[in-house]
Amino acid sequence: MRLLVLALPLVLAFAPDELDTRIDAFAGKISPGGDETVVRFQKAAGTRPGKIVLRDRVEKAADALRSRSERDAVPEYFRTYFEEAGGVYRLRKGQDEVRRRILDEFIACKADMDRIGPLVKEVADNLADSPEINAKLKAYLSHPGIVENLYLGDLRQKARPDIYVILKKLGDLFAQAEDGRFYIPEARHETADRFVRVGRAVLDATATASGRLKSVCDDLVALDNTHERLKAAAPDPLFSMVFLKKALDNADLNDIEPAIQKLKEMTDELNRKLPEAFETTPKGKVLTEKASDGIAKALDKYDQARSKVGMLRAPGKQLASRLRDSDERSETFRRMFQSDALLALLDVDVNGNEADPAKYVAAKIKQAVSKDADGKYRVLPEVSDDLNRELKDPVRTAEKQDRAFKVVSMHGEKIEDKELREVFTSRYGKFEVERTMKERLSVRSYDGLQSWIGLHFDAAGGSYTLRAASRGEIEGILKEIERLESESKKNDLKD
Amino acid sequence: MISRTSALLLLALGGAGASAAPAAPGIDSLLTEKWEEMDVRPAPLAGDAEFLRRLSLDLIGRVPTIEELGAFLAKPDRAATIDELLARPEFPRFWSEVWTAMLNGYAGAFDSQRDALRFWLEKSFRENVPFDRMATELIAASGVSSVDGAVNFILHNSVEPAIKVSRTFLGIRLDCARCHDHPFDRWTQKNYDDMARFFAPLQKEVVTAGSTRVRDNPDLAGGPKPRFLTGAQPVTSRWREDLAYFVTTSKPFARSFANRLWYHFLGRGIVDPPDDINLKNKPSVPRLLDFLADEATTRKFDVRAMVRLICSSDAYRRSSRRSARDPKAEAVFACRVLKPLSPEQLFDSLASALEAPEFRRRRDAFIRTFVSRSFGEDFSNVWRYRETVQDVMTKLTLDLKAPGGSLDELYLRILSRVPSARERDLCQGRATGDVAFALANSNEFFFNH
Repeated sequence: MRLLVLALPLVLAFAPDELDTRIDAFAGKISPGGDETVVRFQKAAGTRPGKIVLRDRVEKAADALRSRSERDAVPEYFRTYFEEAGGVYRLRKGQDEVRRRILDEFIACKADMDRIGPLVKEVADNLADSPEINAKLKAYLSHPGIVENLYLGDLRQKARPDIYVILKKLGDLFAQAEDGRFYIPEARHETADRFVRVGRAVLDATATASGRLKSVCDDLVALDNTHERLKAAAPDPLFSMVFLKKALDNADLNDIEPAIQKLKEMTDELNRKLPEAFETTPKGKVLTEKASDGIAKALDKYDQARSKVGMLRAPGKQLASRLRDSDERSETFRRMFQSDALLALLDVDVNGNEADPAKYVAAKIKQAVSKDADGKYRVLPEVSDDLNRELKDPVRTAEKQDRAFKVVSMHGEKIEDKELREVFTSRYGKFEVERTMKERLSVRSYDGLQSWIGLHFDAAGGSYTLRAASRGEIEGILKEIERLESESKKNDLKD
Repeated sequence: MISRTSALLLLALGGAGASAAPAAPGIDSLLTEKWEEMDVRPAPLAGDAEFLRRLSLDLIGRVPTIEELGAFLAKPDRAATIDELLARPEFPRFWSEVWTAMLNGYAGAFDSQRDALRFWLEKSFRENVPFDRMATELIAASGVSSVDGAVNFILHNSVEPAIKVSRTFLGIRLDCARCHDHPFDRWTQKNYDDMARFFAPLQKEVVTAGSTRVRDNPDLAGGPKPRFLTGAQPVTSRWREDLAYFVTTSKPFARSFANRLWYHFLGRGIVDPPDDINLKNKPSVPRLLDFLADEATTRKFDVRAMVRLICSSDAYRRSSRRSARDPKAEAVFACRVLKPLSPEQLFDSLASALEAPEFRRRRDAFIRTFVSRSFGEDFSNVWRYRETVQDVMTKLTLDLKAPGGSLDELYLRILSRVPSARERDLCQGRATGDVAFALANSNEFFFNH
């Protein structure tokens, strides 16, 4: 199976400088044994053209390792979590948490997909055969993996956001290290510090405001539903964010001070005006009539925010645990990712139709097809061209996906654990394997130099000796270096 | 540290005049030869205070403080001052901004990360990485945009990298040759195609949102081998690496590097504009360009060494004061060309002169507004009234508190000089804030002269 299409690019293992230093160190350890060719190679490795030619060899060796790794991605996935004995895969010790996560996600996603399935089937079964675009769409929607493709390809992230949804909102702030953890590259520290300033300001402001709200609402009478809801919501910093969020609307990260100042002012104003919203009656402390409507609306907004934040809480926590560094900056981000008030600020669309995959699919269907009087669906003329482009070759695409599914399924069938077997013999399993390996391969580095040396030199006693069979390789390199030097002598423009 | 009073005293006693120092060999003698040949009379040398203002703006991107001015006037050791400014962290910071603007401009493209590039450049200037190595890394860069800063140059310019590389590192414009043979230069459409093919294997892949990996994929290299403008052809499968080698060991690279540095300091290239060296646009002082290119090669493209060479020349110290413009004299550097301050220089100079460190947090916003108002407006936008560059400056100066002190101090802070008798009369009875506002909005402040 070729996961390359999906495999994310690999971060270079060695910066050019570092590689040059390693080449020098390697050349210094070569034992020529009186071989004139090896002496020439040793010397040439220290020159700039020599480095260029050698780096080319190193890159090629790294490419070979990369290809091998990508070809081996599916078996590697199963090797990581299972041990094979007599053709049966048994979960390795210590992988129970992974098992739980896979099963939980599978069950949740399957429930979503089960709701989408009938909607898609209804359209696929009743699409007209002509004009051609209808037949094309029918072929696409009739594929047995269509629901998984639609849902796992894009919808899942919207319905069940993961850490990448949060990372995407932060732009290019974080990079992923080889061990899969995230860190802020040095070049992004300045930008990160602006986020940190906002984050701290929000944490401080909401802590102050929620403390104040709590103390004011402590002796509030449970007059009605609004009063009850208010009393429960008051200590939650997320509730105070409902009042303060406006300060950060349209805030410019490049000029963040005015927004922070506004946040402080609004916090002060909230503290100052809060008592005006209450009055003491014979029944006790209650909201004034004037404030009641506003508070009810704020509570509705709070409920919406809570539902949105509820979906981001798990990925936020996961991201916080996957931050590599523990400096002050990273620690603040850890706090930020676990703060409801800050997660609510992320403009992540998890609360509209997209949050309900079935509603989303129904809306998309409505945009693409209409049901005519004969009970047949037909593609709307205004989307016909776009759809044609999107569905370039649905049969071929489906074939490719089927092949990938079969490979994963082949491994899945060997799993002893019944529940996990169900996951990995379903199309969901293919997506799980692809997603995991995509992430893993995206940060893996390959030591091309070590691989190339291993192919052509014997290492013994701290020195390297050229293998007889590799003489041709070294002679080839020397010729390339000579040619490169000769080409570089053409160093001026012809008048 | 010298006191403000001493600085004032030194200026009052004429300390701002030009101190004698031996001229750098080479540059000045070559220019003198040219002036004699053209019968051009050079402008006198600028005073020490003016020299320091010039040097500070060119090296660290802001006007000198009153204390720095006083210290220099007390001991006008130009060579030591050049070294001192080169050793400051402000030098790599400011130069990284100048080069980022030159390499990638101010706008974003293809998710390239301007900050990451600037950061990489700052580190390179701080470590005094030879310029040929910097150029090599920029041309041949591979890696991820958020981690490997250099990669953002090629990423940003990935639509026509051959054009950008030629302009930036060789001073050659291939733009016309994209579609047809150049009308008045040597470049043919085939030259362009040959050069462009070096970048055919360039592959961009999204790693995470906003982060892109750039690498060469030899599988994408179809067709014949590329050819550099000198005729050199690649040998390895990593064509950009070979190109970087050809570029940085070529004579046009040395000439272009020398010319760009000269342009930065003198406000005009020996070939001007510096990215348009062609058969019709010859160097105004050819021997000077050859000399500087040779020096760059001999000094192994050591940026600081080249800065010392240029800044310690008399050419760098020629006065800009004259009654009328003289393009002939300007072309051969017999007088100083006025250089408008960049937005970064303007902001930092204002913040430093008016001692407003609290304002620094608004720097990026100021620069963005300034640049978009000056050059970057989208002309397809519907009409709306909006602030001008002057408005942006006015707003900034209005927001600042005027510093205390005498009128002389105010002039020194902002214009690096004491007021003339007439200016003293004009300022009589005016509030300090009003005078500071007027000075900070004057042409004299807006220019490096």
